[in-house]
Amino acid sequence: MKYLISITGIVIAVLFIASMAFAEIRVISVKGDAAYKKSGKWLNLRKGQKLGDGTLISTGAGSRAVLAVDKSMLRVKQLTTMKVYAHKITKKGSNTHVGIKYGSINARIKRVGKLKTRFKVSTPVATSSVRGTEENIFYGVRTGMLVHAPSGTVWAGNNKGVFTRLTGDRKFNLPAGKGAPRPLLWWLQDKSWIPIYPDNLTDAEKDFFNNFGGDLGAGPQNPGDVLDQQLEGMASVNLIVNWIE
Amino acid sequence: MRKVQVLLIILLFPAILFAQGAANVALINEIADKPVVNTGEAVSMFVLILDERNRGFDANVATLKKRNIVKDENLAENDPIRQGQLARMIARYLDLNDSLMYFLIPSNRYAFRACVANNIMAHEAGEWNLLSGGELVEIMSKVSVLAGGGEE
Repeated sequence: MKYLISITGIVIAVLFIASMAFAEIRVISVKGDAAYKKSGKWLNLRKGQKLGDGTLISTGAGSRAVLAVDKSMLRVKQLTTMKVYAHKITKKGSNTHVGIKYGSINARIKRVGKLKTRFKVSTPVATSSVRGTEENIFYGVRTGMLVHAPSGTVWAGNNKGVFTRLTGDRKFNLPAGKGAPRPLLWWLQDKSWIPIYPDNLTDAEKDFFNNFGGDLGAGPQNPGDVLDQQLEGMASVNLIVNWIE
Repeated sequence: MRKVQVLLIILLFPAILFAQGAANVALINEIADKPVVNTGEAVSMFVLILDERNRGFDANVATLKKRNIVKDENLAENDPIRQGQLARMIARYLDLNDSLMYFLIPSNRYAFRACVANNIMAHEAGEWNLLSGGELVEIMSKVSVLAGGGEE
């Protein structure tokens, strides 16, 4: 009986050590130019390669690299430089932290067994945290950090008081140097404009507005504003809005 | 002897292409860290977006001229590039003629506005603004997506 308990204990220990060894980041595929930095030099990333903590990865134009982080997938899109800060599996859970210097990634996070899975992505302005879902994260000097979770829930925030919970089609955007993120539905604003013409426009005039309408009134100093103002009038519109949360 | 040379070229070609990948990534990272980018660096980035090899300033400009991205303008390698100049190249490459003012007056000013309208550049900046490396990479990434060369 004692032997049986000892053997069971050894098997559990071996399985646990095996699961610790499973905590790895592996290159699944590479398209175009993708490299990692070692001893100050950029070297080509190869399919099947294992990456350790602190590895800097970068992709070129029109390129991408797909990484497997245990059961999760990380798609490093074109013109991106990112770093794997930490990736650990302990008894309590799986903890992964990557940082984006610039560019974009798509992360599809899956739980490792019944372990708590934490996946954090940091940019120079904020950090997003996700558990068992998918998220797209972009960082650019001008745009700042952009987070979108097509499914599930993502938290985004920083140590300056920003803390946002994202679900559905909401998008988090915190531009660099700004204290607060933009409204979560800001991106719908540009998409909700509907061309409405006065009744007396000819087909040719409608074609003109279809081709060039986006320019008219696009900026406060745009000469097109004059045209726009001349055509301004009252209109009544019936809208059916389907709001999907 | 000739057969050996041909064989060597065939054998070395993939190795040259493979080495080029890391070199391109190194160049992009070097440019991304610059506080102000010059024309030579912007031209190099453009060439990489076109999936062409970066062969030095004159050869790169020749590539862009061949594709009608650069026309008769005088480009000096070490001059800092203005946002309007880059916008003009982008407008030609992406054929942004659906922008009314750029269609009527194809200048740097309206090329810049066309780029703003297409969400490539930010309206807070102006045509005369200089660009940092990070800004150049972000802009060229958007250009590549619009041209169908990369994922959004």
